[in-house]
Amino acid sequence: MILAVAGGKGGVGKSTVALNLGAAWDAVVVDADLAMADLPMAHGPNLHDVLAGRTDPLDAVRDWGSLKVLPCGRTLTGARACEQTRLVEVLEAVATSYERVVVDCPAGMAADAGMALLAADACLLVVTPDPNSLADALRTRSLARRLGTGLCHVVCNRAQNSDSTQMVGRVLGAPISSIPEDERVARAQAHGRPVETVAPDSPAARRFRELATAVHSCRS
Amino acid sequence: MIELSCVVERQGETSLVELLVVNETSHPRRVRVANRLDGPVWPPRKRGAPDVGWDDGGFEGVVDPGERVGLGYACPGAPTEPPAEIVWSEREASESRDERPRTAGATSLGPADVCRLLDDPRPPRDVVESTTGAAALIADESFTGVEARIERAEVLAEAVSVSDAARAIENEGDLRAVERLVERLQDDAEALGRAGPRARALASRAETIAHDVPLAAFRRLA
Repeated sequence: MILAVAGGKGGVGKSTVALNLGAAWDAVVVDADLAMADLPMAHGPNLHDVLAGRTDPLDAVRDWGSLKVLPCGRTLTGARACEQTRLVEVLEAVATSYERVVVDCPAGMAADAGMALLAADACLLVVTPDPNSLADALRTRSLARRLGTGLCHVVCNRAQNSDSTQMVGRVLGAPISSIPEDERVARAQAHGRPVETVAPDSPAARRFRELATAVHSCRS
Repeated sequence: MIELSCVVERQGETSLVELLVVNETSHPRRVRVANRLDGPVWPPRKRGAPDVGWDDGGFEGVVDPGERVGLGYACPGAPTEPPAEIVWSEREASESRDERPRTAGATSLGPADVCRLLDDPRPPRDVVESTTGAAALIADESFTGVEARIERAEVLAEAVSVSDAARAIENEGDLRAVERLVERLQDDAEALGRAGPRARALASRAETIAHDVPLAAFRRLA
């Protein structure tokens, strides 16, 4: 299953959710933000190389602690040279070998975000208590529908009020989970690690495990 | 035949129903799916109005042959089995297809359509670092790759008849693929021009052939 973690608005925590969900769900995490990669980067082939036809997709998947990641390149030249239409076949190749793929989608509504949504079997939208993030999530949901990809779950990151969280879930039309604000999540993310590696008993780590269970039940 | 599978889950005071409708026949079929929970259908909405095909009792729409359509709705009624069922389906007459709602979520879009419909997110050519671009190109990409692109463009430039042009476009994929090839050659020429004798020779070939590909004619043909 290919699950796209999207949301439209930048800065809501898509990469954080993608990394932590990938760890809890034992999925390969693909950083598909071709122009502004966020996820762990190490030497070796990356998604820029794959999309430019220089590397086989499976050769770019590498171990990162307990995770498997297909990172993205970080050069403007590499981003310019990407053949974006290849992303669909690349994600399908990874999913054929690894079964579960979480795609960290770029913000916005350009072709790179659309391509990841097109490739996905379902999408997960990330919002925050900021109302602007809900508006962008609604637009992303519309784009996903147009591309034939359903919404399976919503995550309210840095959540505060449970009543407003439930309202957001009703507006978007999907089950919603909330991840509480926790500086340990941010600290772990800054080192490219899921929070389970630094605080496995934290509420945030528990919520990501619950999210993995919920997402697993979305498989068709 | 038309197959329906359903899953219902209770969340608070609301039941959430997920449906998968599959048309295993070789013709488009219009399908009516009715809610069987004790309560009205709360359908997905667009700008405050129920999405196309939905009403208080369920959903009606056309499913293409081989198509799998995912649908979902909410209902205040308690879960029951089955939460929904197909009450009728009929072969869709082709002349009526444009008049009544198609399935929500139906799409025949592919990667090329996504590129055509949405903005190009790649950094513009002129902001890709000019001082390190050549070095990055050489580090990132062998001359072999550039030569391969030049050779593809040389085939395109040799198309002299409509049938040659159509075949050449088809070999590349579509017109957009040809346009991207030309853009890429222009990038190659710019970067290679800064990289030394062999690179300059390739740059000259890349720049020349990028001009020789008859894009205007290909666009008229497309």
